[in-house]
Amino acid sequence: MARMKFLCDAERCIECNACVTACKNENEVPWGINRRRVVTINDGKPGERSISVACMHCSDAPCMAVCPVDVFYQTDEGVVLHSKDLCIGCGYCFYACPFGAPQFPQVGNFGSRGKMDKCTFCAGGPETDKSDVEFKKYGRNRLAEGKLPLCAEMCSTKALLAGDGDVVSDIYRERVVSRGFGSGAWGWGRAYPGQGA
Amino acid sequence: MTAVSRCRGWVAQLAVLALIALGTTFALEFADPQYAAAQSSVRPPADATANVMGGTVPGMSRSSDSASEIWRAVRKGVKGTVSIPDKKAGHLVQSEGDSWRAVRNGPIATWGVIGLAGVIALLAVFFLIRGKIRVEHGMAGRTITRFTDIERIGHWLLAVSFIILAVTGLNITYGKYFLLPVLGKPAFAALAAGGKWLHSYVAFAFMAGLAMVLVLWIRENFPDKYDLIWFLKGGGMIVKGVHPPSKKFNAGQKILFWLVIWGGLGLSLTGIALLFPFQIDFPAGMEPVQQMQFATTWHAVIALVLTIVVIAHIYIGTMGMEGAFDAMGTGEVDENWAREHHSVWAKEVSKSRRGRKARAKAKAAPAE
Amino acid sequence: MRMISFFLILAGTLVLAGCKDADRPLSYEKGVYAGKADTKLTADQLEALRHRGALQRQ
Repeated sequence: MARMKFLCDAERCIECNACVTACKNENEVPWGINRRRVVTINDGKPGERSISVACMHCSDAPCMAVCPVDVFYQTDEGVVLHSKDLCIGCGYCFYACPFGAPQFPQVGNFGSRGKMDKCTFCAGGPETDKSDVEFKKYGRNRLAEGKLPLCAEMCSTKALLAGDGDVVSDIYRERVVSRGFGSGAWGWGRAYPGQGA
Repeated sequence: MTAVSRCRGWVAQLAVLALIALGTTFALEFADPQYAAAQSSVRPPADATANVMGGTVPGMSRSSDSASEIWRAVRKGVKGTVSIPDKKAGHLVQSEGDSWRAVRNGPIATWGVIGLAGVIALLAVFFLIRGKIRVEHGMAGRTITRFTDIERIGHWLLAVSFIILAVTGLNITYGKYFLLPVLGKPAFAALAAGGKWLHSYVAFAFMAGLAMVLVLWIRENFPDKYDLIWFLKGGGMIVKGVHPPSKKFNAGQKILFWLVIWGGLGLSLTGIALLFPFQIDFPAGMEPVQQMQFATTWHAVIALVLTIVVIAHIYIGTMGMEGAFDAMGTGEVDENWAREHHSVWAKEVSKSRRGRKARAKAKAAPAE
Repeated sequence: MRMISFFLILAGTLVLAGCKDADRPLSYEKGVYAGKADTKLTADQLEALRHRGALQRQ
């Protein structure tokens, strides 16, 4: 069984936000909720890197561990999904998540922040696959149609890869080998500055 | 239409156009001075760095840092920029959440259960061995007033709200292990949602009760000379027939008072921070999400400690001691109970009562 | 009767002490990788990857 993973190649990401736009559009994500975001480090300075991040669908998901109502579940393919019907909006999953993936529709509704929303790897939720209810609550279920998440499909530079973990890491390894050691090797950049990236 | 009138028509149109253009420029000038200024000069702003490259040819756009250094910075929690309004999202990776999860699901959950089960077990053992602490000389049948109406209202407001808060709070930490398998997910989720709502509202009743109790009883809860003797004699609870003297509140009650006040204050402050997430800034130099993790941890620890202590308090105030519940139930306690357990206080009360009776008598029948 | 219940209660409490949520570290040091070590690519794998990369070059 394939184990789904995301990988964002920071060498290729150009901060175009196509992934963000694609996700928002395809899943009809409401205002203020950002399932996917692009973070730019050293913005405007030499060595600027951008990374697109959403839910990483962890193996030992911290969100699942701390949820008081146990709304999370993991599919066979490793995708971490949750049930909005059960969610009480306590926010604990956000405190635990290393990547800040859970999003809430309200800032603070006196301790309840509305139903948590997050990246679903375009795999919907506990409702029936490809149903209207599932789309309204969780967005598009592309995995049920045999497709991959739209963010990775729309990436203009193929920086964001999503799919079977083995395939994704093969692609990334090929890139690393092709680029040579200048980009990844620790210390080469400082030891041999003439080489460039 | 004649040629002259057509000509005048064009002039009129041109004039209107010119007026509009003039008016717009004027309006822009007044509306957005920055815009106008940028148009007026191509010089860089006064605070621009003069020579960024120091004379060298621009290059090294990828910098001398290799990708590993970037990723190391990311793992250490470097903050980048994002284009969305929530600038907190620039924090790419926060590892404190993993520590928080480990602590919350590990020591806090484990020791909480041990503490709660342990205190019940210890009290059961105490009851089996020592039994109910009786009034040795039997009930006198006469009572003295221990707690006025307002004191009892304050106590019960605090007590009932604490019990509701403790139960709903424990449900958040332990509910999914014990109640969820019994109720099933949908029913448990509804219960948890209702519990959280109740917890948020009853918290304010708790804070009001806490304030009342503080104001009413703070003076009688400062340490006095009888406290050390009370401790050394085990509070009279261990050996039968031992009755250390005490004022209105004995040393054990004073400890409870201060635990509840300080613990309650801590719970209130962390609770308010949890009610308004990311809207209150702790002056402790922590990231917003770290502050919430800190608040949840502290809230849980204090809550568990207080719950454990309160269970013991409930035991001694109800089944643990004969005649104790009357104090909070009706406010009137048996005289013998008072003399045995709070002898100094009992003497003070009867002296002031004798004094009052004497004064009343003197008023009614003035000395001849 | 009393002694039996005393020891039962004590035993029950101690049994609960065994409940814990995995033996994970309580404090994660940022930047210190605590997971599995990465496996190096074998010479064959490197050759295969270079070959794949060469296909994309002119």
